Amino acid sequence: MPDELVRASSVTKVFRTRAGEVRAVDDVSLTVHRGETLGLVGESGSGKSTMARLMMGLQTPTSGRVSFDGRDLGTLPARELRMLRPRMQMVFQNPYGSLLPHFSAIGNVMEPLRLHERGDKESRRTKALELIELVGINTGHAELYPRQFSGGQQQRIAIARALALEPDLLVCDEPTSSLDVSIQAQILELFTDLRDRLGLSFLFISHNLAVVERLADRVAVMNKGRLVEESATEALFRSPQDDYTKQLLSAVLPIRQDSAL
Amino acid sequence: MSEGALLSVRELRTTFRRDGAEPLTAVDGVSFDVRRGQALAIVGESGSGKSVTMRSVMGILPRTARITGGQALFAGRDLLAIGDKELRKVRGREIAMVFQSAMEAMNPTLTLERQLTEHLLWHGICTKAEARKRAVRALGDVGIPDPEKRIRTYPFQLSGGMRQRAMIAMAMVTEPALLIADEPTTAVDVTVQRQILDLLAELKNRGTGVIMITHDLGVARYFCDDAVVMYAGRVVERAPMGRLLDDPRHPYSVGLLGSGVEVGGRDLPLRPIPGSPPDLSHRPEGCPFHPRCAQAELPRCATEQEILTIGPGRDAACWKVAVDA
Repeated sequence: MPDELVRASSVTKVFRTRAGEVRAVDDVSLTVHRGETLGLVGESGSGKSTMARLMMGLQTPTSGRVSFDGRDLGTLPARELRMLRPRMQMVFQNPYGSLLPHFSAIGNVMEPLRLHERGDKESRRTKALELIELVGINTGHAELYPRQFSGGQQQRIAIARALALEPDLLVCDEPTSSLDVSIQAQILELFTDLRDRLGLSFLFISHNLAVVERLADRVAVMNKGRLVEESATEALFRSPQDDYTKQLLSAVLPIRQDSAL
Repeated sequence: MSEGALLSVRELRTTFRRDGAEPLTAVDGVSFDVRRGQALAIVGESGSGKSVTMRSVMGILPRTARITGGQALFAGRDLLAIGDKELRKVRGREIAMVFQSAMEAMNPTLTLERQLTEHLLWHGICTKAEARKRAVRALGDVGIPDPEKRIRTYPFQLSGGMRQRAMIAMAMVTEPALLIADEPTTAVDVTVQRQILDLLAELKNRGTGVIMITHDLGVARYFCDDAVVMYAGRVVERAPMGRLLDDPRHPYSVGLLGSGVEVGGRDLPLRPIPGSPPDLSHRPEGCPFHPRCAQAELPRCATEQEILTIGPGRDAACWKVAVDA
């Protein structure tokens, strides 16, 4: 199908540890379509982060296949894989940990452009400044270092960096979990805005069901390495089918008295 | 001090020493009461002073911090004035703490037995044999299977949820009058969260007063009876829990509620508060929230912060809030 951007087919990942074999991902098939936001939810240890790494080609599945834009990541020569890399980018939970501390904000955003040899230094600068503005950072602060920004601003810089190579797919692993509520709301708005403006596809991983409900078109639920349910967001929240999904939803504690739960 | 308060904190002020600069005021005139068998939520974002407030009361501040004013009345004594030696007799016995991360709060080199009996033995509450019995019972009470065997294990041998339970057992074993819980469920999965809260509720039912520091409003609503909202080291609103969430009055509380996403709220508009909380070394004059407040009126909001009583058990630090008739 032409509108499939990334597809995992019957993917399994087994890690060998001293305590024996761990089946982190067990026979999971997932597809992210172009322009779509797929939410991936589950508790710690459910395999959702491993799934993300497999879909990015950062780890090789023990069995199964992952293809990006129709090309099998497992059989692609390293050179061609490197050409595909810019088209998929990641945003992590801890923005400070993911930024280079000894590079300024603009230096961080320029770095992927330099690594992939895009333009000259001057054009990289211009591009990085545009991105910094796009994510809502005062361009007058572009020369400051990551530690001089708040957590929310650091995450904006990390997002600007992820956008530098104009990816098709943005994989976000708990991107708002370390942020305060009022800042989380700002970042969620930024994601919505970016999706509408740039037509990005998202794989959005979170344990926060409310965040996923707000952003995702479709939601996949993982438990102990297995995919237990996958459906359109509204349907999943309205009438969950799987017992584990039901359990997850019923564990949510409502804030407002008149909330839908 | 209000009638029947277990702990009454008044006008607490805590500052941090800095090299080559004026001391930083992290807690600026904070007051609240905790009642027996009730839970008070302290709600606020990072840097709002929630944890420093509790550490001040417990006397476990870092060396650079100093309490420069206020009182914390507990069972007729001012915890801020009695000195470290007396405070040690209270801490762990009458007031216990539960932290966000059991992995960091527990000693990785000691078995659960050593850690669970430590308070009982240190305070001379009972004999070693009796302490062991009580520790096993406490582990059983928090739902740890096979407590007789588990008490010989080390913290790292337990799963995250089990470790959190063990830490609660550690806090419960002396049957404290007051429990301070600092983000007790933030690090655990949602399906475990409610079990932990129900355990803590058990304690509340036995008459223990609880202070819960949290940024999770759903957790606060489920567990707490009253709430104070902190911003930039000050209390901006005080209210019964449900009233705060259903009808917030201080513009910051309104903003916090408007920022919170909630399952079932997909179609509700998101209304984030613009900007970010102030750096405490540049705390805005007057109401510290005024630079981010859509309703701020200058110059008044930038020069003074007035506390208005809104209704029974409710007040807000804003002269513009609506007051109940």
